[in-house]
Amino acid sequence: MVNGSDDDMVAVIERRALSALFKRVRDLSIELEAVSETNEILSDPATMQALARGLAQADSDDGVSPNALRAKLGWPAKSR
Amino acid sequence: MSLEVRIASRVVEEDFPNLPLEVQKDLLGDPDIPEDEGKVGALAENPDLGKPLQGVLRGLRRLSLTGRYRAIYKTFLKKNVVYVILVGIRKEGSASDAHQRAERLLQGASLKEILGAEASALFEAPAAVKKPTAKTRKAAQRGRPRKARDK
Repeated sequence: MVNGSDDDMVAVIERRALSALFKRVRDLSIELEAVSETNEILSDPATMQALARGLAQADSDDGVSPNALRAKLGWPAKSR
Repeated sequence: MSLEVRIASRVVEEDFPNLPLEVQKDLLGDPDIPEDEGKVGALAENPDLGKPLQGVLRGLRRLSLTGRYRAIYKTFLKKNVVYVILVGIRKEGSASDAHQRAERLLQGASLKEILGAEASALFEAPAAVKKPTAKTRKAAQRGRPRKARDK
Protein backbone atom coordinates (compact mmCIF):
# COMPACT_ATOMS: atom_id res chain seq x y z
CA MET A 1 0.00 0.00 0.00
CA VAL A 2 1.40 3.34 -1.00
CA ASN A 3 -0.31 5.66 1.45
CA GLY A 4 -1.72 3.19 3.96
CA SER A 5 -0.40 2.40 7.38
CA ASP A 6 0.51 -1.06 8.63
CA ASP A 7 -2.85 -1.14 10.40
CA ASP A 8 -4.65 -0.56 7.08
CA MET A 9 -2.71 -3.40 5.52
CA VAL A 10 -3.52 -5.72 8.42
CA ALA A 11 -7.21 -4.78 8.10
CA VAL A 12 -7.19 -5.61 4.38
CA ILE A 13 -5.50 -8.96 4.98
CA GLU A 14 -7.95 -9.76 7.78
CA ARG A 15 -10.91 -8.94 5.57
CA ARG A 16 -9.59 -11.18 2.79
CA ALA A 17 -8.88 -14.03 5.19
CA LEU A 18 -12.34 -13.69 6.72
CA SER A 19 -13.95 -13.58 3.30
CA ALA A 20 -12.11 -16.78 2.26
CA LEU A 21 -13.10 -18.40 5.54
CA PHE A 22 -16.77 -17.47 5.08
CA LYS A 23 -16.71 -18.88 1.55
CA ARG A 24 -15.24 -22.13 2.86
CA VAL A 25 -17.87 -22.33 5.59
CA ARG A 26 -20.58 -21.76 3.01
CA ASP A 27 -19.16 -24.46 0.69
CA LEU A 28 -18.89 -26.89 3.58
CA SER A 29 -22.44 -26.19 4.68
CA ILE A 30 -23.68 -26.92 1.13
CA GLU A 31 -21.70 -30.19 1.09
CA LEU A 32 -23.02 -31.06 4.51
CA GLU A 33 -26.54 -30.38 3.33
CA ALA A 34 -26.15 -32.80 0.41
CA VAL A 35 -24.69 -35.52 2.63
CA SER A 36 -27.36 -34.96 5.27
CA GLU A 37 -30.18 -35.13 2.76
CA THR A 38 -28.72 -38.27 1.18
CA ASN A 39 -28.42 -39.91 4.60
CA GLU A 40 -31.95 -38.93 5.47
CA ILE A 41 -33.29 -40.56 2.31
CA LEU A 42 -31.16 -43.68 2.76
CA SER A 43 -32.36 -44.12 6.33
CA ASP A 44 -36.04 -43.90 5.41
CA PRO A 45 -37.19 -47.24 3.92
CA ALA A 46 -40.50 -45.80 2.62
CA THR A 47 -38.72 -43.02 0.72
CA MET A 48 -36.13 -45.45 -0.63
CA GLN A 49 -38.87 -47.79 -1.83
CA ALA A 50 -40.69 -44.92 -3.54
CA LEU A 51 -37.43 -43.80 -5.09
CA ALA A 52 -36.64 -47.29 -6.37
CA ARG A 53 -40.11 -47.59 -7.93
CA GLY A 54 -39.80 -44.13 -9.48
CA LEU A 55 -36.41 -45.00 -10.95
CA ALA A 56 -37.75 -48.29 -12.33
CA GLN A 57 -40.58 -46.34 -13.97
CA ALA A 58 -38.06 -43.96 -15.51
CA ASP A 59 -36.72 -46.96 -17.47
CA SER A 60 -40.05 -48.42 -18.46
CA ASP A 61 -42.50 -45.58 -18.91
CA ASP A 62 -42.32 -42.02 -20.12
CA GLY A 63 -44.25 -40.64 -17.18
CA VAL A 64 -46.77 -37.85 -17.38
CA SER A 65 -46.29 -34.37 -18.76
CA PRO A 66 -46.89 -31.38 -16.46
CA ASN A 67 -49.86 -30.37 -18.64
CA ALA A 68 -51.40 -33.83 -18.35
CA LEU A 69 -51.09 -33.54 -14.59
CA ARG A 70 -52.59 -30.04 -14.68
CA ALA A 71 -55.50 -31.39 -16.72
CA LYS A 72 -56.00 -34.16 -14.16
CA LEU A 73 -56.24 -31.47 -11.48
CA GLY A 74 -58.63 -29.42 -13.61
CA TRP A 75 -56.06 -26.68 -14.09
CA PRO A 76 -55.51 -24.84 -17.38
CA ALA A 77 -52.61 -25.90 -19.60
CA LYS A 78 -49.45 -23.82 -19.80
CA SER A 79 -46.80 -23.47 -22.46
CA ARG A 80 -44.63 -25.98 -20.60
CA MET B 1 -32.24 -25.39 -25.23
CA SER B 2 -34.94 -26.45 -22.82
CA LEU B 3 -35.58 -30.01 -21.73
CA GLU B 4 -38.84 -31.88 -21.47
CA VAL B 5 -40.10 -32.48 -17.94
CA ARG B 6 -41.85 -35.79 -17.26
CA ILE B 7 -43.39 -36.80 -13.96
CA ALA B 8 -43.32 -40.46 -12.86
CA SER B 9 -46.74 -42.10 -12.73
CA ARG B 10 -46.14 -43.01 -9.11
CA VAL B 11 -45.74 -39.31 -8.25
CA VAL B 12 -49.09 -38.57 -9.91
CA GLU B 13 -50.86 -41.45 -8.19
CA GLU B 14 -49.19 -41.60 -4.78
CA ASP B 15 -47.46 -38.31 -3.99
CA PHE B 16 -49.60 -35.66 -5.62
CA PRO B 17 -52.91 -36.40 -3.85
CA ASN B 18 -51.15 -35.89 -0.49
CA LEU B 19 -49.50 -32.59 -1.36
CA PRO B 20 -50.88 -29.29 -0.03
CA LEU B 21 -52.23 -27.00 -2.74
CA GLU B 22 -49.35 -24.55 -2.19
CA VAL B 23 -46.82 -27.27 -2.99
CA GLN B 24 -48.77 -28.36 -6.08
CA LYS B 25 -48.79 -24.73 -7.24
CA ASP B 26 -45.09 -24.37 -6.49
CA LEU B 27 -44.32 -27.38 -8.67
CA LEU B 28 -46.77 -26.85 -11.55
CA GLY B 29 -47.27 -23.09 -11.37
CA ASP B 30 -50.29 -21.20 -10.08
CA PRO B 31 -53.28 -22.05 -12.30
CA ASP B 32 -54.51 -18.46 -11.95
CA ILE B 33 -51.25 -16.99 -13.25
CA PRO B 34 -50.76 -18.10 -16.87
CA GLU B 35 -47.08 -17.13 -17.04
CA ASP B 36 -46.21 -19.02 -13.82
CA GLU B 37 -44.87 -22.38 -14.99
CA GLY B 38 -43.70 -23.37 -11.53
CA LYS B 39 -40.58 -25.32 -10.67
CA VAL B 40 -41.18 -27.70 -13.58
CA GLY B 41 -40.78 -24.73 -15.91
CA ALA B 42 -37.58 -23.70 -14.16
CA LEU B 43 -36.28 -27.29 -14.33
CA ALA B 44 -36.91 -27.43 -18.05
CA GLU B 45 -34.68 -24.39 -18.46
CA ASN B 46 -32.06 -25.42 -15.94
CA PRO B 47 -31.87 -29.12 -14.99
CA ASP B 48 -29.03 -28.33 -12.57
CA LEU B 49 -31.33 -26.20 -10.45
CA GLY B 50 -31.60 -28.84 -7.72
CA LYS B 51 -28.73 -29.83 -5.50
CA PRO B 52 -26.97 -33.13 -6.24
CA LEU B 53 -27.36 -36.06 -3.87
CA GLN B 54 -24.34 -38.11 -2.86
CA GLY B 55 -23.10 -41.69 -2.61
CA VAL B 56 -25.47 -44.36 -3.92
CA LEU B 57 -27.92 -41.59 -4.84
CA ARG B 58 -25.37 -39.86 -7.05
CA GLY B 59 -26.96 -38.82 -10.31
CA LEU B 60 -30.15 -37.70 -8.59
CA ARG B 61 -30.89 -34.15 -7.58
CA ARG B 62 -33.30 -32.67 -5.13
CA LEU B 63 -35.17 -29.45 -5.44
CA SER B 64 -36.63 -27.59 -2.49
CA LEU B 65 -40.31 -26.74 -2.70
CA THR B 66 -42.52 -24.62 -0.48
CA GLY B 67 -42.28 -25.52 3.19
CA ARG B 68 -40.32 -28.65 3.91
CA TYR B 69 -41.24 -30.37 0.66
CA ARG B 70 -38.80 -31.52 -1.97
CA ALA B 71 -38.78 -33.08 -5.41
CA ILE B 72 -36.18 -35.66 -6.40
CA TYR B 73 -35.41 -35.94 -10.08
CA LYS B 74 -32.96 -37.32 -12.60
CA THR B 75 -31.84 -35.77 -15.83
CA PHE B 76 -31.50 -37.95 -18.93
CA LEU B 77 -29.47 -35.70 -21.18
CA LYS B 78 -29.47 -38.16 -24.09
CA LYS B 79 -33.26 -38.24 -24.06
CA ASN B 80 -33.45 -34.53 -23.28
CA VAL B 81 -35.71 -35.32 -20.35
CA VAL B 82 -35.91 -34.32 -16.68
CA TYR B 83 -37.79 -37.08 -14.86
CA VAL B 84 -39.39 -36.25 -11.50
CA ILE B 85 -39.21 -39.40 -9.40
CA LEU B 86 -40.52 -38.37 -6.01
CA VAL B 87 -42.22 -35.42 -4.33
CA GLY B 88 -42.60 -35.44 -0.56
CA ILE B 89 -41.98 -33.83 2.76
CA ARG B 90 -38.71 -34.03 4.61
CA LYS B 91 -39.14 -35.83 7.88
CA GLU B 92 -36.09 -34.68 9.76
CA GLY B 93 -34.77 -31.21 10.42
CA SER B 94 -33.92 -29.60 7.14
CA ALA B 95 -30.24 -29.22 6.49
CA SER B 96 -31.10 -25.93 4.84
CA ASP B 97 -31.99 -24.82 8.35
CA ALA B 98 -28.35 -25.41 9.19
CA HIS B 99 -27.39 -23.45 6.11
CA GLN B 100 -29.61 -20.53 7.09
CA ARG B 101 -28.21 -20.66 10.59
CA ALA B 102 -24.66 -20.53 9.29
CA GLU B 103 -25.59 -17.49 7.23
CA ARG B 104 -27.18 -15.77 10.22
CA LEU B 105 -24.07 -16.53 12.22
CA LEU B 106 -21.95 -14.89 9.57
CA GLN B 107 -24.26 -11.88 9.70
CA GLY B 108 -23.43 -11.43 13.36
CA ALA B 109 -26.29 -13.18 15.18
CA SER B 110 -25.25 -14.97 18.34
CA LEU B 111 -25.49 -18.76 18.69
CA LYS B 112 -28.04 -18.30 21.44
CA GLU B 113 -30.28 -16.20 19.18
CA ILE B 114 -29.98 -18.69 16.34
CA LEU B 115 -30.56 -21.90 18.26
CA GLY B 116 -33.19 -20.43 20.61
CA ALA B 117 -35.08 -22.84 22.82
CA GLU B 118 -33.66 -25.80 20.91
CA ALA B 119 -30.38 -25.53 22.73
CA SER B 120 -31.24 -23.39 25.73
CA ALA B 121 -29.65 -25.95 28.03
CA LEU B 122 -26.32 -25.19 26.41
CA PHE B 123 -26.50 -21.65 27.65
CA GLU B 124 -27.84 -22.22 31.14
CA ALA B 125 -25.40 -21.54 33.97
CA PRO B 126 -24.23 -24.82 35.46
CA ALA B 127 -25.61 -25.65 38.89
CA ALA B 128 -23.32 -24.49 41.68
CA VAL B 129 -21.11 -27.29 42.91
CA LYS B 130 -20.08 -27.17 46.55
CA LYS B 131 -16.43 -27.71 47.20
CA PRO B 132 -15.90 -30.77 49.34
CA THR B 133 -14.71 -30.03 52.84
CA ALA B 134 -12.47 -32.28 54.92
CA LYS B 135 -15.57 -33.49 56.84
CA THR B 136 -17.62 -34.35 53.74
CA ARG B 137 -14.62 -36.10 52.19
CA LYS B 138 -14.21 -38.28 55.28
CA ALA B 139 -17.94 -39.04 55.29
CA ALA B 140 -17.77 -40.06 51.63
CA GLN B 141 -14.83 -42.31 52.32
CA ARG B 142 -16.83 -44.05 55.04
CA GLY B 143 -19.54 -44.65 52.48
CA ARG B 144 -22.37 -42.75 54.09
CA PRO B 145 -23.49 -39.15 53.88
CA ARG B 146 -22.66 -36.78 56.71
CA LYS B 147 -26.33 -35.94 57.40
CA ALA B 148 -27.22 -39.57 57.97
CA ARG B 149 -24.24 -40.01 60.25
CA ASP B 150 -25.20 -36.94 62.34
CA LYS B 151 -28.74 -38.18 63.05
